[in-house]
Amino acid sequence: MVRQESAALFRFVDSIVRRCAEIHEYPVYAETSKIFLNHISILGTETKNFLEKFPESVEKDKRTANSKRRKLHSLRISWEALHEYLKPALDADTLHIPSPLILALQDEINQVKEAGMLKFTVFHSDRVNYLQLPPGTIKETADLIAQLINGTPFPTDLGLVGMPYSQSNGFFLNCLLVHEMAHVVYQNVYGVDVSTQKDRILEALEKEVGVLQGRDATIARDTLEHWIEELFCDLLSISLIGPAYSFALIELTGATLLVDSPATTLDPFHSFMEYHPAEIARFHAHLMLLKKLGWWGEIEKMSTCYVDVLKISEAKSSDLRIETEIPEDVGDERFLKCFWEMCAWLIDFVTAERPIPSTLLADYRKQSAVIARYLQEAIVPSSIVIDGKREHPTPVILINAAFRFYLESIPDLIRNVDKQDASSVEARSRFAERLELWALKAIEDCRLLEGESEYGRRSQV
Amino acid sequence: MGAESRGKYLIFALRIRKLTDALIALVEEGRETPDLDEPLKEVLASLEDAGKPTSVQSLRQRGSFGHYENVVTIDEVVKAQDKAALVQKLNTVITSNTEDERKSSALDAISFFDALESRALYHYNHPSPAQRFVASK
Repeated sequence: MVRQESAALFRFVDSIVRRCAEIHEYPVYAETSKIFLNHISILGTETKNFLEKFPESVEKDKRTANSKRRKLHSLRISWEALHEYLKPALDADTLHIPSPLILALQDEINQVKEAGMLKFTVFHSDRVNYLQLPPGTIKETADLIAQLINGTPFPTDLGLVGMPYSQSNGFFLNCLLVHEMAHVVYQNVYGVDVSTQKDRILEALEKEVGVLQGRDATIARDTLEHWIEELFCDLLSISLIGPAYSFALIELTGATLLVDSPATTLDPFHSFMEYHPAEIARFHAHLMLLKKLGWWGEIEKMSTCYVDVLKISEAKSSDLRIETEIPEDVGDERFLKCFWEMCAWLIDFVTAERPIPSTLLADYRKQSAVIARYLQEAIVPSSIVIDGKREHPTPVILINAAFRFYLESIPDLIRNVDKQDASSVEARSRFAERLELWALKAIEDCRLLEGESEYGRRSQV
Repeated sequence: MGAESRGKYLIFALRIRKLTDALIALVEEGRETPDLDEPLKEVLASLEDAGKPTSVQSLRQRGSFGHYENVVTIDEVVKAQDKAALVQKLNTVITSNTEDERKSSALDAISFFDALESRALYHYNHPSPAQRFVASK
């Protein structure tokens, strides 16, 4: 019986290993995707070797035989979990991911202390929401499989991030990928520090309301942990790529609905869920950090409802509700106080750990208007001329200047280039798509101008 | 249940399996692996504290076993009346000086951990929607 069970799992794992081996010259995969697929292949081969010897080990001792056979079941379910991510990883070849943006975001992540070696592999998802993909589980699952079969651990510096398959050429929404990358930074670098602070805040809460009973402490601790990990990733994203991250999140969540809307706390934007803080609270935290970093002064006067969302989040965040279970003895208001205490601490923590470059805002102020003029003429702004001197904007400046143009000036572009009806939704969408391609090209050129193109090939500049 | 929560049940099942492997090595070969003592103490802390006031500090001592999904699974598998006997057996695995006694207790512990692993995989395979949503709010 155990030989049959082992053979069935062997066949399943073998089919995955063979699929990983089918990578040839075309389509082309990023190096990180190859590392991921190669690791799955190695782990699969090690699992097959383990299974070859497994029946013998089961037959050794009748007392433990049944338990050992259960291990096969757990391994099968784990491999099924990995299997779910294999095709999404294979689908994400270089023609179907915004490679220049991903590499630019990775470069920013690498500026974070102790995250200098992190690399990311991208997989496709059929879900549109970037914020609901849990790739961290896959890494942990692969590692635990390795421990159970005495195999190779998952590469320490490889993170997985998911993106909706439809956004392969997208630019603006894909700025949200930096948040997913920040989860890997949290798990690899800062999780312990932040979690310790969270426990301090909860211990202070216990001094007020008494020691939490039974599972209440677990719920309080886990829920706050989920919220602050999300908040940490938001704040680190802003410190890395500026307000473009907030704008992308506003677009994804449809939070512009909040502008000029009647006040009602039944609006989902006010709701804290089990795994995510309320959007209103997140945008209020974004506003606080943008002010602290100095970015707010650069965007405050932008004529877009996206900035209005940030402005009104402060007032609206006094009216929040929790739609997941929290300890009854604590109550929503007191528990939210814990969240805001963590928020204040995180803002200081993130700005200390990752201060923005000293010349960034001054350069943005100087270059963004020029970049906008280039874009209005449909020119890719990789190199711009200011006062007769050629300058190369950094990716962060390009991202934010392009986002600003997208939010404020698409009608000007339509009128300027095509002399078309700037009020047409179709034209606006089409030109936004063109703008995304120019922005991606400009960012790709940044790497060329630095002497290195994608995937490590050296280029002549 | 969200994908995050579902994934946690799978991770919990695999961690339990790792512990079971360590117990099997103890039963079959008398070999104590580094994977045994620390996680066993964390499970013990979860069992001893269940139903009592639980400080944030004590949860930290339970390590990965202090998370919600793991506490739910342990509570489902361990009947209240069996808890004391189980705690005693797990304590014996850690503290007994007699090899036979340790092996015998480890064998009993394996049955308990098999049940935990199965239950965690059940939750992984049968996610219940919005498990912790509070409709009354």
